[in-house]
Amino acid sequence: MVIRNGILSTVRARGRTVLFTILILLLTLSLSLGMGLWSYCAQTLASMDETYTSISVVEYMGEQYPEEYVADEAAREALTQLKDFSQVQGVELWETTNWEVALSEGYQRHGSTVPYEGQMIVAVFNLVSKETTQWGTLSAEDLPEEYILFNSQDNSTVTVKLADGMWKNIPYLERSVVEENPENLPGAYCVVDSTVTLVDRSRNLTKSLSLLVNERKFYSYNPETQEITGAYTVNSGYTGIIGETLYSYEGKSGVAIQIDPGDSGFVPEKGGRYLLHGELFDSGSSNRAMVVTDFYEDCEESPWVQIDTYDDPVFQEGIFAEYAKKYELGNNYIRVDTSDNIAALEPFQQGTLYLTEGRYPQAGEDGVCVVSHDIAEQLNLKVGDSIPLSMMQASEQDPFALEETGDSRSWTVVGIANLAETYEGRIWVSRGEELLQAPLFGYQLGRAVLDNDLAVEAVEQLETMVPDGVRVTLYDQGYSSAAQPLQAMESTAQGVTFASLVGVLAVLCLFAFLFVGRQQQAVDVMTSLGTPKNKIRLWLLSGATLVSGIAVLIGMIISAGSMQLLIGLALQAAEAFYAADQRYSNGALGVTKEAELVQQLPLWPTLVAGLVVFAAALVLCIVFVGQAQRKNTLRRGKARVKAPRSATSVAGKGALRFAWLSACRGGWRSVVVPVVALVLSAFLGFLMATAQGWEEQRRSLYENTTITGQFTSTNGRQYTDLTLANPWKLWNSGMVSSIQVSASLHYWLQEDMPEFANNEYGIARKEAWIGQQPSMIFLNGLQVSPEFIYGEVPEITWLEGWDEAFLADPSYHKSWTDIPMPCVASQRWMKEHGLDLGDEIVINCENINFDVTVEVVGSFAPAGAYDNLYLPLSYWCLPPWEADDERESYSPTGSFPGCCFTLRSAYDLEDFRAYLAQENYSQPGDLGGNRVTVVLNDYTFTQTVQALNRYITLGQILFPVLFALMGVLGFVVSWLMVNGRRMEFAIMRGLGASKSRVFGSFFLEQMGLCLVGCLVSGLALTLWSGQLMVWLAAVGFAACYLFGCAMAVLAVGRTKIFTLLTYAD
Amino acid sequence: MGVLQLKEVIYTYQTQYQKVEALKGITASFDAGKMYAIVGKSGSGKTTLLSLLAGLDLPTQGEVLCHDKATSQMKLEQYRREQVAVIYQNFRLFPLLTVAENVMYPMELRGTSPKEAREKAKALVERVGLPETVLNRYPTMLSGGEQQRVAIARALGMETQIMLADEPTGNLDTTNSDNIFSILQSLAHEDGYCVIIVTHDRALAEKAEAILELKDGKVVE
Repeated sequence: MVIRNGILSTVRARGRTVLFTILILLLTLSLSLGMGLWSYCAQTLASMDETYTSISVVEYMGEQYPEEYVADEAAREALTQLKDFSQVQGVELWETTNWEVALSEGYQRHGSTVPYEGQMIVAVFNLVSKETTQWGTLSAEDLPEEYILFNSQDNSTVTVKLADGMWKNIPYLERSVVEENPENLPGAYCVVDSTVTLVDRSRNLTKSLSLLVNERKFYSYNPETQEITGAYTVNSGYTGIIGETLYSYEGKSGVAIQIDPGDSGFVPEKGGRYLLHGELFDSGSSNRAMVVTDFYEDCEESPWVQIDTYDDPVFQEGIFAEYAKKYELGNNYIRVDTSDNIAALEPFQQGTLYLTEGRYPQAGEDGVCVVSHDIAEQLNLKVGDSIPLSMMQASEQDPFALEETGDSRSWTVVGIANLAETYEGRIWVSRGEELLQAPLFGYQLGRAVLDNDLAVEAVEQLETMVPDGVRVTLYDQGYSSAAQPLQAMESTAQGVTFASLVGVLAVLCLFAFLFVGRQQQAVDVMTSLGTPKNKIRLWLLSGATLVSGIAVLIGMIISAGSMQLLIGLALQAAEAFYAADQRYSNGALGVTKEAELVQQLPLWPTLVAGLVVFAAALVLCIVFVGQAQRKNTLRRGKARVKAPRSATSVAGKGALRFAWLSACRGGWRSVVVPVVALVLSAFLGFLMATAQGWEEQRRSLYENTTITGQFTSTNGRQYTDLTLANPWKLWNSGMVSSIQVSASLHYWLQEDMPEFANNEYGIARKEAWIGQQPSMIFLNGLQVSPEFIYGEVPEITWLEGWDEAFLADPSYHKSWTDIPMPCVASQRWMKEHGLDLGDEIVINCENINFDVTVEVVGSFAPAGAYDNLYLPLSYWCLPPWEADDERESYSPTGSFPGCCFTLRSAYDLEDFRAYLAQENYSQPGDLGGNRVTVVLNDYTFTQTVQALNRYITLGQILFPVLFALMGVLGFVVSWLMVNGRRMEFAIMRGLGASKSRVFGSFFLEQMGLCLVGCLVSGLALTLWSGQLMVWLAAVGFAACYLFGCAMAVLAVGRTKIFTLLTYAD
Repeated sequence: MGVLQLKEVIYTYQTQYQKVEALKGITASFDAGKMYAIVGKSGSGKTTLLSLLAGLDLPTQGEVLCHDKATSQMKLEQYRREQVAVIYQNFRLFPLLTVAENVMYPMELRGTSPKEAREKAKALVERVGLPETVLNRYPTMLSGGEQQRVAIARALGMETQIMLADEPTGNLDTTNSDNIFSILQSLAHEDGYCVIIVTHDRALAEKAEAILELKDGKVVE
């Protein structure tokens, strides 16, 4: 009975019951969805965190980047300058590059990764001197017995040596002249026809000289210089047969070989056998050719030795045997990489490598390894097998010049990687293994494994810590793009959850107060009838419990049913909100993983939310039961308000007078409205000023940001060869303001060039030597130089009247020789050659057959070991975008090592991406139809703009909502203010005041108070922000508030005076 | 012919649960220079009747006539402003206006300038037996009897011929009640007002020239 009565008395208050049922239902739903979304996002992010791996690769951008096995002292020096990266927040693991070399019996390396493929140590016999014909200057004594000698002045006569010491210039005669007029012919002449015929009629000698021509026995004689040039025969080495091979990668013997003595001084005796050390080279013919070379630079041991038999001890011991062994060892090396997170090593992280069997070693796990596919195949290894290795020590300069250390180890294979050509002969072990500290080869200094969520910030921090020339590249597998919407959703869900909790508490407090706490009368009745306390409690709780229980249950059912749909919609909205175009961006290098979203939605948030709301309702009702039982309605009294003394006013008239007096004397009421107006309009104004700041920031960002880009290799990390057509195509987009191109030629000073033999090998050596010389770099901006591209352009000291603009001057293309070529040089190089600014020096450069004079017009202190000279691009080419007239433009054959460009405006970024996509340019890691990869350096810009766009969009959504809320708030505050003064309303109306006067009395009072607050906030914000538009917030707030206020006054005014007076009583 | 007349006045209103017929055909007439008392038990309809007389609402049926003109034919605001003055049981004074300003308010409604109204207010306050010192005080600083005098002064300031009072002594002690009643009596007898009071107090009602007793919305004969 008690429960029934309790429930009935509750549900019969229909309006209240329905209202609170709906409120509790909505709050349960909201809390449940908030928690569900939060849980879903947290679960998905946790799952993504396990799936994605973010790493940053730290590399030195040296001259030979990205050569992997080069010994670059600058890179080693840079490695020593790296600070302790492991202290950077977000860096979970920092490892410097560490690998060693080992050998395993039975493993043989093949293909392009064999290091000593060209080295040879072979025994040769049957050596025959090889003569070749060369063209050059020679003396008369070197001329053969029979020859023709053309006068190189006009080629009208031919000088013929008729006999020893007997020379004669004889004319050319046409065949027709000879045939028509044989009797008038000179004693000796040449007939020019298909053959040249030397005729000496007096001696009755007629000889066809075609043979001589064929034998290249014709010479050019210059009467002015008296120089004879022509073909002559020289010794160009030897041919022989390989009798025995001590070392050769291909291991062939019994085959013919050409031998170039090189600089070794090798001159074989006739019939001798020799053991030679050298290397294969391309002689241009089909025959195998080798050049005899020293074992190493400045080695005193001769690279050749005469032998009698193949049993000679030199095959077993000595330097030849030693080097043969070294080459054998080096060729079959196995590289042992150590890492505490092998799965996060770049090739694994980027998907080039993956495990086909087994697992990765864990951090610190001893005695286990992952092996490359070829090792597993050759050694027939399976997961669980052991691989024994002999650890080797590499030399400082050659990673494959190995020495045995006597350290033998054995690892158990726990994983086998896939087949990948450039990763043959590799094993990966945990850093827990103590290996020798091998010298650094190549340019990868180290690698950091990053916390996915902090990766971007960590890389930014790392970038500030690296020395010049070192580049830090982030590979996050697309985590930041994929996680951003989920992170935003998670934050929103957290906000919704906490707001719902607060709402739940507030509504349930009110619920408990109204449904339980305010039931004193019923309690009084029950108490007076002698109802036991526990029954009174039951009576009070039964109805409230039923209402809250039903509301919670319905909320839970709706939540469970709609969760999937709502999460899907939220995810779509968040993805749309956070969608950033990262095509061609330097923020999206490397592979991108597809995020795998969690499919199974958890049910527990619904259950927990329901339980929380229901439990809170129950607890609060119990709290208010105590209150209802404690209160005695008979003891309640009335508070008396004290008012201060005041003089009677006669100021003003009508409604305004009443409003003024009421506002002045309203006490706390007259303070609340201006304060509320002040705070809220200031809040709105602050938001508007901030939003305006965002707009300004975005505009300023667009106007002040220079977006650059470059053509790169497919990994997005290095420059690549280009033809001029590639950047030209970009220029045609109309969205590029400048394109910087660099091209280079090696140069040297004539006196610095050593002598090279005039044969194939000599030419090859000369080319190799030239290849090692510094470069003349032709460019139209210093930043594009490989020397400066990854660092800052140093400060240039200019000769008076010169600046960097000369590099882009298109007028230099007309001549290399008319005036000295202006250039920028390093101060070290200038000092070495005794040069000052304005001095000239003559140099030679590749592909140019004349001396070049350069004038130094600018100098800088070099950071690296480069002695490059920087010259205007127009010496090399005149790109169409820099030529005054397109017909003037010209480009050389060959390629450019680098090109970077600048967008005309950051506003063009999106259109430019679309243009690149339309033209099928490739992105790093994603080849398009156009196999030229472009990278835009827009990551920071795009991220900032995206963030600002989100704020602005939020603002655009938020401001109307806020203004509407201000209107509602104005209504509520005004309602509270006016409704509390119904008595005054009634008195006025009772005394016959017109509706307009009553309206005016209250409205003007509220308006005055509101405007005071708005005025103060407007003034304060104007002083703070300096923006007049903050007044919009004050005016907007005032308009909304006053609209609400007018509605409230009208609403109260609509009530009958009779009712008002009754209510007041 | 009375200054105020009720002709078959019926008044009904709708509550949340039911329709209530508060007055069921009341007919009465009230003359100037006389004091009338309307009595009856709680719920008999006396306050409703006074409200209709005060022009706070119109009857559902029948008519309230003032100087032979039906209130339904008038602008009620103007009627309240110019024809009737009402004194309520709970004084109904503006809490944030001083005594003088409260008294001045209806005068200002009628277009009197504040300065002139202030002078009149001063005289009216003296007339109802209050010292000049109360003029600048707020109503809440006065006793109940003083507040009721201020309410009477404000009613006098309206310069009407009809004075309605709803339980004017209901919240007052005996002395104050007598004083207030004397004032109202003198207004009727000396100043020619038609004074109609609603009261529970039978003894007080007995002092009036005529008594109108209501029961269940009807006049008890």
